[in-house]
Amino acid sequence: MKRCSIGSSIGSVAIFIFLYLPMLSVAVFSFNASKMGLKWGGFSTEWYEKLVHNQMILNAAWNTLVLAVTSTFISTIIGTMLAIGMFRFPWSRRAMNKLNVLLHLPVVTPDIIFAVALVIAFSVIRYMTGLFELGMASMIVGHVTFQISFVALAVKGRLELIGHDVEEAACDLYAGYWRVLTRVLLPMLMPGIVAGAMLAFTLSLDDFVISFFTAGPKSSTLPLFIYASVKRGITPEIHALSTIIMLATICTVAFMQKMAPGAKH
Amino acid sequence: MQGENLEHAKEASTIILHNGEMVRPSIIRARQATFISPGILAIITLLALPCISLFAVAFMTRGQYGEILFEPTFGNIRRLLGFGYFGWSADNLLILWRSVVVAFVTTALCIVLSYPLAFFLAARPAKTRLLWLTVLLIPFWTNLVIRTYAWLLVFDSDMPFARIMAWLGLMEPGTSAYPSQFAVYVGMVSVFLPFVALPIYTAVEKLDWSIVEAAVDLYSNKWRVFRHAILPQTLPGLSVGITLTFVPAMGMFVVPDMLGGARYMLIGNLIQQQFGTSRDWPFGAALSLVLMILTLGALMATSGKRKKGRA
Amino acid sequence: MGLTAYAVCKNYGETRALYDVDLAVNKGEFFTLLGPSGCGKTTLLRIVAGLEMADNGRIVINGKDFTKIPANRRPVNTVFQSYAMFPHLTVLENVCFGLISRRIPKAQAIEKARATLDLVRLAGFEDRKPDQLSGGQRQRVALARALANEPEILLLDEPMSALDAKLRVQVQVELRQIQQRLDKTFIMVTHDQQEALTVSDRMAVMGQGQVAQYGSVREVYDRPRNRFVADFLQTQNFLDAERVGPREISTRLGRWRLCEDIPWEKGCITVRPEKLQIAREASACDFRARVNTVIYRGCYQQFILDNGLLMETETVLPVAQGEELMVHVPKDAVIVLHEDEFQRMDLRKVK
Repeated sequence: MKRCSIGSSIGSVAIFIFLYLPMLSVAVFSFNASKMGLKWGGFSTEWYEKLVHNQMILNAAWNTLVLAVTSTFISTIIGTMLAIGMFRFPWSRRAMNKLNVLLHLPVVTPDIIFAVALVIAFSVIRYMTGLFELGMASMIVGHVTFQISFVALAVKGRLELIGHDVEEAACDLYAGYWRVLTRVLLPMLMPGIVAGAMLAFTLSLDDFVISFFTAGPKSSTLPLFIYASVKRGITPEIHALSTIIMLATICTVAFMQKMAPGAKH
Repeated sequence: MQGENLEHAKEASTIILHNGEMVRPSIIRARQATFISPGILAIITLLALPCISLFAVAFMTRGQYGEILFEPTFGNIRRLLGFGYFGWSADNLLILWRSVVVAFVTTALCIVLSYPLAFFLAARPAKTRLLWLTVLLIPFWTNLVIRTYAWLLVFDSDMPFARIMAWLGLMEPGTSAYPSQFAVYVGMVSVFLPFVALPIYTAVEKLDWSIVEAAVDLYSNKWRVFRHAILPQTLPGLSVGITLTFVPAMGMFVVPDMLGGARYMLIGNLIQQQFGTSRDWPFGAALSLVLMILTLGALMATSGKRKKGRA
Repeated sequence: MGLTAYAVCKNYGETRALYDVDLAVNKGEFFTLLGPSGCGKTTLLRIVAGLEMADNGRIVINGKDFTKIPANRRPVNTVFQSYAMFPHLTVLENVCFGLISRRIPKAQAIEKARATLDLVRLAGFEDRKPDQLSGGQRQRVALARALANEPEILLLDEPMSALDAKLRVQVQVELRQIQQRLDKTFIMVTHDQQEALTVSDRMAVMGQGQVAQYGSVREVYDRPRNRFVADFLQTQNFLDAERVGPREISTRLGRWRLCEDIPWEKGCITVRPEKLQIAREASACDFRARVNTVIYRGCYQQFILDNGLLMETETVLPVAQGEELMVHVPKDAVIVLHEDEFQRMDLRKVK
């Protein structure tokens, strides 16, 4: 039996074109020499050169990176702890159900509600303590909050593959709790932790809505910058910036596929 | 079993065993609390409690300068239902309705497109399949703003699409194809397609082809083969895809904001307005509450379906 | 005394895993817990290791009470059924793990680990990761990892269940040799009677959370005490019998004289198929039977007789199907089974 008809092959190629055409257009027009509009004015790398001299863009890029790295670092630690705490300890069925709801909450909450919730939480904290202006710190906290669950779920997947016998063996070999944790469990969890961290990192880079709501006036990220610029009109510089970000995405995805074959989703 | 162990320990003895260690239950409790508390506290204080607080905020009053006054009111709900200063208008309800319709149509379109794509991917030889999957994953991971922005470019008046449309007489010459409902749908489908295609692909990959062959034998009609042999087997993947698309599509605000403009607002844009320029948090909270309830309903509907699909 | 376990009880919720188990294992002997799956043998081993807590009872190792002392402070090491290798550590690091845990200086630990790897003939594999080893090699790493700590008692939980049949026989012999060379107490759990007979000095046959019989390997094999043990050790031929004299019974196949006293009026006896002999003359004939089926087993031959008994002969005789045989039952071949109540008691449910 034919498992993929010619019709669905043509359709699929059309779908791939549909997905890639806009991104390719952006890449092509990033090399367009003409400053205004979308008429082809010859090949040029002018916009890329301008890009590296634009302090605002460099700032935004730096912010994006700082945000992603910091939030990934924090959420990887907290998420791993959460996974171990939830799935390596005895819980009553009732408590486990409640914890599971909380664990999945950030995954199923729509971005916009998540963002609204964060805004409310931050304003309450500011109201009570007088601290915590919206800015880099609030963005990091926001990103960490949604990354935790994804890290924990990735680590959970790995935890389920590790039997209790290894911990018991370590215990049988005179190891105390700390040694079992650091010398046996964590090293064995490492693939899951790395996968979780990579997921958290890409989620942070990918995010717009939560950053948009929790950013302060001085903490623009690249997506925020592009969004703001688009409101003012399309410019070749944004084409160039988008192209670079798309290339970075392609590299990251390729790297992730190489690093963790079969360990995704 | 471990949970029972701990419960049991309360009465039986003071020491229990945990992964080869003999410790007091209190120590185990302290440890598990230490492990989960940072994560769980963050989720509770920054997400769960604020979500619950929406119930309260939605019934408060907006102050003159955008502050929240603790005066209970049904004003926000009334306003949501269309009762404004200038009499009743359907605007808000229309936006709500449109959000649901857009999410529904987007999901349906994505499903229709996903099936051929999933079969195409599953039919690739093992060697190149990972490559094809990566090709599908790249748009999935590309930043939403950039992907939407790319459509702006494609729909620009100077680009072939707008020109062809104008030549066909479907559009005014010299105008862009956005903002328009059409542009919103195109943007939404391109954003959400991988969310549906990937779970369906996973299901198709595990498909039991002998059932399909039997169905071809018995039914011979293509639609009936799909309906009776393929659909039931891919239902779990399909319901994951629907959840991953319908829920975020309802709350989407980037795509309608950039491709739809003010005339094609969805509830997401309206919420964003309340928390942004309008500074009307109580009304924003009321809108969020509605979106949250819609989300919950959608989740329950699909999870119910998933359970049925498994049985 | 190497290990003494007193009145060990263990329940999993409603299910009874161990019921009042007493056990005494001598220092320097190879002791085996034999039994069908779910008989509680692994639970008992885990209780000795400290990986499971008994609800009741005491565990005494070399005269010291270890009941309330956790696994990581017991002078006992385990070879796990799954081997439970640390996959992220090399063979050497795996073997060193216990020594490092006990804060033995690194150089000394490595030296000890190398010596132990030598003992299990794995020198040269130090830097491999567990997933680069074969099943047999991994098993020996698991053994070395436990032995390197010089435990008072080495526990082996079905150590050969993951090996193929051919390798298993070889490993059994090796294990026996290592035990004799080190002169340590080994306690092994297995469901394979052949394995138990090959390696151990003494064994306990367990069933339904209790010890059904324990003693030297020969003793248990030759004289199973009750139906459960006899069944498990596959004596095959069971007959109901009645006492007719102090050392004489009557069965449906005739009256037989025995060489032991009979403790009951009505009971059960068993005869191993290989103990039945073909009588040369009529005077030695205890019963006559027709051969229903002849099974050729290579080095021996089996006859299924028309009275339901199974008979084995070492030499391959020209016996045809349908032929009538005169069978001799030697006096000492008949095993008198004692308490049958063991079988009837349902011990699985608490209360």
